[in-house]
Order: sequence, then structure tokens, then C-alpha cells
Amino acid sequence: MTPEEFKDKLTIAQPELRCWGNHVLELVKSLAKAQGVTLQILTSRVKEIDSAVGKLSRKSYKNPMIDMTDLVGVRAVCLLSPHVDELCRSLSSYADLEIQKSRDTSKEYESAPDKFGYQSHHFEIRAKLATVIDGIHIPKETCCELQIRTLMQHAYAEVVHDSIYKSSWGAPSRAIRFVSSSAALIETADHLFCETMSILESETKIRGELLEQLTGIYDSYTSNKKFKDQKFNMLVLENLTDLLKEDVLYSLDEFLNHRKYISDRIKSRIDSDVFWSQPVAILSYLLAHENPTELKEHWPFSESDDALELVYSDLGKKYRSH
Amino acid sequence: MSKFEFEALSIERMVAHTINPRTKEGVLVPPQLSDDLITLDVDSRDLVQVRVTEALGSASHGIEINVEKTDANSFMQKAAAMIRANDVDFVARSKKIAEDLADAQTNPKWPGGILIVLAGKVGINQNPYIAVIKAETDKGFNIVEVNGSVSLTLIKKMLLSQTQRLYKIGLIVEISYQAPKDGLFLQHNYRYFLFDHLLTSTETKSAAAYFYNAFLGMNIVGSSKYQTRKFYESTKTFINTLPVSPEERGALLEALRSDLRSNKGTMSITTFSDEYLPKEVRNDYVQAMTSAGLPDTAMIKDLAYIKAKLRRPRRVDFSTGIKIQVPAEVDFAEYVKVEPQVDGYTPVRIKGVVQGQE
Repeated sequence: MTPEEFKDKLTIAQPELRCWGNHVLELVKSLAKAQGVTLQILTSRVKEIDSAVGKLSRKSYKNPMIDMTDLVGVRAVCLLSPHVDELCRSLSSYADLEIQKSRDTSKEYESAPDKFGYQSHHFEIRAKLATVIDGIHIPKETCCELQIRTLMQHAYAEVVHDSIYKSSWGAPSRAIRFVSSSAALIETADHLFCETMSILESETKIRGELLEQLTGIYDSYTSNKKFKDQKFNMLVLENLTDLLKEDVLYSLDEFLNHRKYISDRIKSRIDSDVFWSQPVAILSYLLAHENPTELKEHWPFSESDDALELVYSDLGKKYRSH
Repeated sequence: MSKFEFEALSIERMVAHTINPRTKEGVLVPPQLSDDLITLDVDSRDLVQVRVTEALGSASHGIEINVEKTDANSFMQKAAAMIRANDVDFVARSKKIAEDLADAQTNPKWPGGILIVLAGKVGINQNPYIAVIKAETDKGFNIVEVNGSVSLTLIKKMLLSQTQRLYKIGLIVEISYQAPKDGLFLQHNYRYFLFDHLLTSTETKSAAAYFYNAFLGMNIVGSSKYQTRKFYESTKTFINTLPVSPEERGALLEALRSDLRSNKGTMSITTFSDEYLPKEVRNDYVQAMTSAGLPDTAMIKDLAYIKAKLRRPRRVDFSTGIKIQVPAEVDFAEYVKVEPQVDGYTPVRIKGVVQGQE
């Protein structure tokens, strides 16, 4: 195919390339959302016609419309490597499209463990059968290249791609040495960030579970469906850690069974203050009963004062010191 | 008698009357009486509840008291009858109570105010109660924020702010119900509680008498002597078991002594604990005291049984300005022997060895 023929075909194919790119972008967006992965960057672009034609002249493609797999591309950038892995996994098991992995960083790692360089997962995504999207015909062989990488790998690629990989003259070896070092540094930083996350997660997991169970108790006693402020509840639990015995939920259940009035009191106040819609509200009754002095001292927010005063009052206790 | 918890307090009926002070000549000005019950929204009802529990509940300065007058015309009989009265009767009886308060205020220097009469249930067993609150009005400001700037509007008469100086509460709880005999309810079926800041402050207790005695027909003596001794002894035992240095122990015992000897009319476990004890032992202290049978509210102080133990530490002063201090609890005659002076020197023999010198 001559460059002119290719240019003509490419010009005609622009709408379908753009359409296919958007289709893949929406797919990635929905898969990420389903996995709970936050995407830092998600873009789609159709390759510039001149750039594609230039590439044809540098490399010989028999049928560039099919063989040139990056005529349209989508890029998804996640924060850390576990998020990248999760997204890749859900793509690999997505059966409605023809998805092939064309570049796998974990395989590169296996074959050259001592090299540090560009890292990114690449996929070639095609429709299984010719299809029509928004009135645009998409041939079966139309390919979108999807790149998935971490934010730091993205920074590396942005720096290196234009200045070294694409530079017309050979880059100085010192520059190459530096970018390899930064690739190694990026991998180390990712590793450390992941470690950090796992330490924090195991810490908050215990409290997270407690809050979940507490929420269950709260819901069953009040059947209140108003907004629960996750952050507020977690911060309160964090500050009250010293007062929470291992069997606190068991004690709470027993405590509440002897005091049916508490759920009525909470329900009657739901419209006066958001405090009463929080699962920690129900816990505060038990703690005000068991450790009245410490609860006052450890409660982290003064905005809860009026509500806590009522909790103490319901239990027949004075809250404020005069 | 077990401690009474002011838990799950509810307010079911409420009425208020205006009490006027006497004229300068001491002439009674009749109260202004309302005919209707007051209905409150949730937030307002909650606030009244808080005012009652912070006055009488656990860790408060309220006290349990004894009833003295139980005749047909007494507060106790009127209140007991109100518990099961219908709304019309409830309001009618509350008016009588307002007139009684006006009568009891014989001194023109006692201020007027609003008498609130409440009925509801309290405690884990939801016992019915009647409470009377005499509240003096206060002034304050209402804050209005318009476009981020604050303006104030004066409130000339407001009631039941946090200022405890401005209200007194008497409350009777029906522990078990028995129909009246010969038209009279039996006093032992009820428990009686009082809050009046005049009792707890350093002012004289007698200033409070018109409310709790003349009006409510209650008295505050009775078990006070016993409770005071119990408070003193249990606290002393607790201090003696604390893992602290002898100096700190001495300071705590001295704090106990001076707290009891102060001219405050009441003592309280929580106040003592908050004022003197190290934070980490406060809960243990409160627990030890309540399990010794003391209430965690205020108690009327009566030093009759322990006066001797609260003597000041004895001191020997010398003409040269030198002083020897002897703790109150040691037997002076046994521990200190002062012999006749010889050549301007006084030989003194003291039991023990020199431990510290400053």
C-alpha cells in the first residue's frame, strides 16, 4: 500500500477509529468502577494521520490499516501497581470483545530482571464481529491499543518517550543511565507505597469491621436510613480505642436489650442533629454508662456536646461540669 | 436503700405559673395561674430533661432527702395525687402548689420566677414522678447572622439556661402504688429528691429552707451524719491504698480534711475526685465509694461523728520562730515530748527518724 493510498483510507476511517476508542474508554471506565479502582487519567486519542504515514515509511507494514495496532489508543493511569493489576485482571476475563495482551510488564520482568525501563501493560482490543455503534460501522479488524500504567510509570514514560526514545540523535549514555535509575526508583517507591497502604489497611481493618458490625446493630435498632458519615464514625472509634473492650459489641447488645427506650430516643431526634444518624451514637450510650469520665475526655468533636449531653441525660447522668 | 438512677426520664405533662415576689412591705402578691398544659417539641422537651438530670442525676449536686410533712395539705400529698390525675385535675392541683410556693416565700428578698410542674416517668422501671422547678428568669441574646455578620437581639426573659444558680427542683418518685388510706398516700411508697444551689454553695444552708422545708415539707437531716463519716472513712481507706509517695498521700489526706472542714454545705464523690485525685484513679474511686453504698450525687455534710478526726494538725511554736507540725491523726502525747527549757534551749523528743530536710 502506498503512503497516499494509506492516507486516503485513514482519512475515511477517522470516525470509526474515534468511535471505537470512545467505546473502549467507556468499557475501561465501567470496569474500573466495578473494581473500585480510581483512575487518575483516562484519555483516548486517534493517531495523527501524518504521524501514521510517517511510521509507514520507517517500518514496512503489509496492510497498515490492520497491522498498525495503535491507530486509536486509550490510556488508563492508576495510582499504584495493585490497581493496575486489578484492572488488567478484569480486562483479561472480559469475554465480550477480542482482547489480547501485547505487552506484559510481568513477562518483561521475568526475561530481564536486571533491566529497569518503560513499564506499561498494552492490550489490543477488537470487536469479535463487525458491529455498529451510534450508527457507525466498525469493521471486525479495527484495533484500539489500551495502555495501563501507574501514575509514576506514566511520569517516566512522558519524560522518556519524547526526549530519549523519539530523539533523532542517540541519547547520551549518562542520560540513559539516569532514566534507568529513575525507573528503578519508581519501582522502589511503588513498592514502599504499597507496603504503607497494607500497614494502614490492616490497622483500619479492625476498626472498619467494628464499624460495620456497629452499623448493623444501629440499623436493626433504629431502621434509620439517613446519611452516615463514615469518616466521622471512624475518627470517633479511633479516639475511643482505649475504651473499647474486645467483647464491646456483645456488651452493647446486652445493654440495649435492657434499655428498649434508647432506640426510641434516638429515632425521635434524627431530624434535630446528624449525630443521631451515626452508628457511634448507639455505642456512646454504652460507653457513657461504663466510662462516663473517659468518654467525655476522648470524644474528638465539640460539635457533639449537645448530643452527648442528651445521651448522659437519658442515662440519668450529668454531662457538663459547672 | 439502693441508688436511684434518673435514667430514661420522660416528660408527659407540663404546666407553668408565674410566682411574684412579695411587695416591699411583705404583702403576698398572688401568682398568675395558667389553665393549659404546655406542649413542647422534641428539642425543647430534651432541654427540660437535661436540666432535670444535670440537677439530680448521677454526678450532680442533687440530693435525696426525707419527707417531713405528710398531712393532707402537704406538697407530698398533692404531688402523689397528681400522678394519676386527669389533665384538668392536674392543672388544678398545680395551681394549688403555685399558691403554696407564693405563701412560702415570706421574705421580699426572695425573687419571683416561674414554677414549672412536670409529670412523667423515670428509671429503668419507669416509675411515675412529679417534679416542681422554680426557675428565675435570665437575660441573654439571640444571635442573628445575616450575610455572615452577627447581630444580637435582646431576650429579656429566658428560662432554664445552663446557669444552675437560677433554678431549684423538688421531685418525688412513686416507687410502688397503694391507694390512699383515710385520704392519705403513704410516704414510704415514694422517694424524694432536691436540687438547690444554695445547699451546695458556701452560702448558708438556711437560705434554702423556704423551698425545701416551708414549700416542699422536706428535711435534709437524717442520714447526713452517717453518710459524712462513711465518706470520710472510705475516702481515707482509698487514699491509703493508692500507690503514691508518702508526701502525695499526706497531701491527699490533708485535701480530704480541708474539704470536709470547708464551709460548703455538701460533699460529693465526683467533686472530690475531680478536684484532688489523679485522673487515672478517679473511676476506681467513684466505684469504690458507690459500692460502699454512697450516692454519686451531692450529700449533705454533717460532721458530728468525725469532728475530732478533722482537727487541724497540731503545732508547737517556739519564741525563735521555729515550728514543729504534728499530723492530726497521731497521738501528740506519745509522739512529741517537750521538756522544760534549760539555758534558753528546749529539749524536744520526737518519735521517728529524720527523713527529709529542706
